[in-house]
Amino acid sequence: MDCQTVHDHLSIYLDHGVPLRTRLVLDQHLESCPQCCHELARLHTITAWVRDFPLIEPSPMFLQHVREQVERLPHRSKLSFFRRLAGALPLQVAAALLVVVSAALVWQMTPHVQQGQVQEANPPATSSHGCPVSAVWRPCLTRRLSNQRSRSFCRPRRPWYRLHPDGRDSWCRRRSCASGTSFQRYRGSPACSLGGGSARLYSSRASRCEPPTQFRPLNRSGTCATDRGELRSHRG
Amino acid sequence: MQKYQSRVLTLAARILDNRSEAEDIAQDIFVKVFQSLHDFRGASRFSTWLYRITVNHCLNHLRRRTRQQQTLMVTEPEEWMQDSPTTNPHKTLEQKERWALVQAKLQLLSPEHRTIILLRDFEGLSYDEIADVLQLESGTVKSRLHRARMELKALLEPYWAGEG
Repeated sequence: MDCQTVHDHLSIYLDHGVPLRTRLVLDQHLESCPQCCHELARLHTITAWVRDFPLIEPSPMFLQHVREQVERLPHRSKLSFFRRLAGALPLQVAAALLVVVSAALVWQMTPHVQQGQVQEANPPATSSHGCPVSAVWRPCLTRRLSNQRSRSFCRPRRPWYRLHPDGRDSWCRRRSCASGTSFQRYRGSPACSLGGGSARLYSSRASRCEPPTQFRPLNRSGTCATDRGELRSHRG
Repeated sequence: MQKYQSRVLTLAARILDNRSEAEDIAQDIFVKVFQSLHDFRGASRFSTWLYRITVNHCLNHLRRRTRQQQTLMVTEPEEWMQDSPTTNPHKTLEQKERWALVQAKLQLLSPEHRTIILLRDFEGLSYDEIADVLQLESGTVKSRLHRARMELKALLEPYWAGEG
């Protein structure tokens, strides 16, 4: 490393800002070059002199003058409170607060969810239509059937049911599928839903993930006729 | 405020090279800080934010002063000396002369070079903090500080030549 390059690095070297490898090269050069060593000593002296500048104390009336100027400022409006609050809160804290407040509001606005959770331990009462009789959402302790890799398997799921509020022509509303909310309805007695080429039982107890495309009334024996002529018993 | 008033006043005085102006500016700075507290988001240290306001105020004041072509009122070296930590009278005199010399040479630098030397060597800020205060890239801080120090060293060469 030549002297000019060393000079270019002296300021950062003085502040211990050079990488270790460069520092070793500079150390080696400075040991053998009195001129660069002299330059470094001069820079060091200058920084020490500036560092030793004494602090200047303000006049005794300094604080008083600042206070008077602050008191002469126009009063801040009430609206600016929110701006000050926003300024005082870090963004992450504000985001977390927003999530908590939103969750609390949603919780407060959906009392049926709260009640449903309380009733989770009790099996829901069913109406003559096979739907849970309740004005509120209830957990249904069934399992969701899902077709994956051409095989049906069960996954724990807690769909929620309630009767349609019109009361006469009872509809069941289900909120259980992976895609979010889906609706299935009953007219009269529990119906069979057809989907995926085969008939499946559809009731308040046995639910499917996909919304049914058709409904077929149950047989008197409580079985469903599939497209292939099979009968399946209603377990709902 | 009491914690920072001396540092802000000293930094302003060194940049402006005028104590009375610096005291007025420092008062304005603290009023401004009081007004702008809601803008402080805590992304940087409070001192860094305060220094940024201080430097901006001082540089703006210098620009106004240059525009108005006011005569620089360089204060006497004695006026800078307050509360000297040294009790030895000979050493105090020597220190006074040295501070006056360095202060005089600092005034020959551009305000930007003077400011960066004061922030680094007097206030002891890191490169990143200086970059935050001056709103510069860290690499720019390094190169500007290097040039400023070299310039100050060149200005002090006659002093060392006379001494040697």
